[in-house]
Formats: sequence, C-alpha cells, structure tokens
Amino acid sequence: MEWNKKVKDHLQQLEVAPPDECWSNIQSELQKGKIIPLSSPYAKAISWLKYSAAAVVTGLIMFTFINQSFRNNLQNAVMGPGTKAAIVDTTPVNKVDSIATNDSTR
Amino acid sequence: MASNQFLEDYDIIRGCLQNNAAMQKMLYDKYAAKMYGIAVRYAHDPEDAKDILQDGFVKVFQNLSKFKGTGAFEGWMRRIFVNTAIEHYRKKNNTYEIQESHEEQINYREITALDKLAAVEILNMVKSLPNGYRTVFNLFAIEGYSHKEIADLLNISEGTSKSQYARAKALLQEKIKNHEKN
Repeated sequence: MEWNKKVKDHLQQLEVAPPDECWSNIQSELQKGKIIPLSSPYAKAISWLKYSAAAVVTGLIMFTFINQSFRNNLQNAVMGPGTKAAIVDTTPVNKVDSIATNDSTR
Repeated sequence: MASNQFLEDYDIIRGCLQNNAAMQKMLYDKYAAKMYGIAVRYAHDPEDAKDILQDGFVKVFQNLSKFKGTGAFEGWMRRIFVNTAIEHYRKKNNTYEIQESHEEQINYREITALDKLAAVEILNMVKSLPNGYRTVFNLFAIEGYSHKEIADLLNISEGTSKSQYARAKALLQEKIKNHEKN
C-alpha cells in the first residue's frame, strides 16, 4: 500500500505544460458557436426562440383547421345544410338541346 | 486561502458563463498544466493527450452551469478529464486480457527506489505501459476507483481489472529496478 501511495503522491498533482496550439484549437471550437453555456443569455434566447417558433407553427395549424370548419359552418348556416351537395348534384343544362327544342316549337 | 481560491474560481466561472473570452483563457491558463498532467498519464501518444485536453476543456466550458459549487472546482474538472480519457480509451478499444494474475511482494528497497525517482520519470514509465494496463493502473492507483467501478467503466470483468492492475504494477516495478541498475 505504501508503494501505491508513493506513486500516487508523485503523479496525482503532476503538472505538464501543454503544447501552445491547444488553446487556439479550443478557442476555435468555442468560436464555431457550437459551445454555448447552458445558462448564458444566448442559450436562453435560443430556447425561447424554439418555443416561440413551435407555438407559431401550432397556432397556424390550429387556425387553418378552425378556419376551415368555421367556413363550413358559416356556409351551412347561411345557405342551409347540404348546399354544397346540391350544387354539385345539379344536372348540367344541355344548351344545344334546349335551343333545338325551342326551334322545334317554332 | 481556500475561500479566496473559491472566490477567484467563482468569478472566472461567472465570466465564462457570460461567454467572456478573457475569462475562458484565464480558466485555461489556471488549470491547463494540471489537466494535461492527467491527459498525458492516460494517453497513448502526445496527439492523444492533446485531444483529451482539448475535448476536456470544451466539455468543461459546455457544462460549467452544471457545477453547483458544492465541492472543489478542480475536483469537478478532474472528473471530467478522467471521463474524457476513458472515452478516448473506449474509442480505441485496446484491452489486453491477461490470463495470470500475480501480486508481487514489494520490499523496502523498491519503495526507496521510488523515492529517488522524479515524478516525470515515473510518468514516463507509466506512459510506456500497454494501453489497458495503463488505464486500469491510473484509475485504481491514482484516481482511487474500485475494481468494480473500473470494470463497469471499461466494460471488462472485475477479475480482468484486478489482473491488469497487478501486471501493470509488476511491469512498473521491473522498470524501476532496471532504472536503478542503470
């Protein structure tokens, strides 16, 4: 155990000067913008932006959905239910036939 | 003295959290040599040591807000660097399995031989150990992890951790003896 302790004493607090380029490499990593401390104002702003964007997207989806059903409801209320179906089911008037009929009556 | 140290660290940390580049440099200057000492002990080669130092500091800056100030800041940093070194070791995945385990008796002469050696000489001997031996030796003898914890960290069995440590120790003692003879 004494041997272990001696090795530990020798090595645990050992200081070795790092190569000069290490700091510049770390600095360039930090400047890439990848590293933002979690509690920094920028990080807070980014998370607020994310939440705001999510809220806006959700709002737009909801508005489109509600708007669609609102329009349908309004249409039904004004023109009565089944209006749309009635318009679609209307048989087209054959103008040629009607003219011909008119001519034949003369 | 300790409270002054804490106050100083506290100011530097606060500056770093505001992305103050001067404070980041100050933190680096204060702890780089100590952390590089850890990196060199675990690293396979100088390039590996540089990578451990750089990755470790990036993690420190990234996770500074998680430091609660309940313990020593240096201890918190040390744990980050040891974990970074273990991650590097895992990436390389160099584990040397040993079949035999033998704990050698250490006599008084070997302890005094150790006294005569400079820390850098011991460091060089530790660095010359095979990767697996060196990592287990560092974790057990220097950092004070148990064999169970080392086994979990390195994804090896407890028996392997014990045998790797025993072999690392035997190799180191052999190197010290040879050094003494020369």
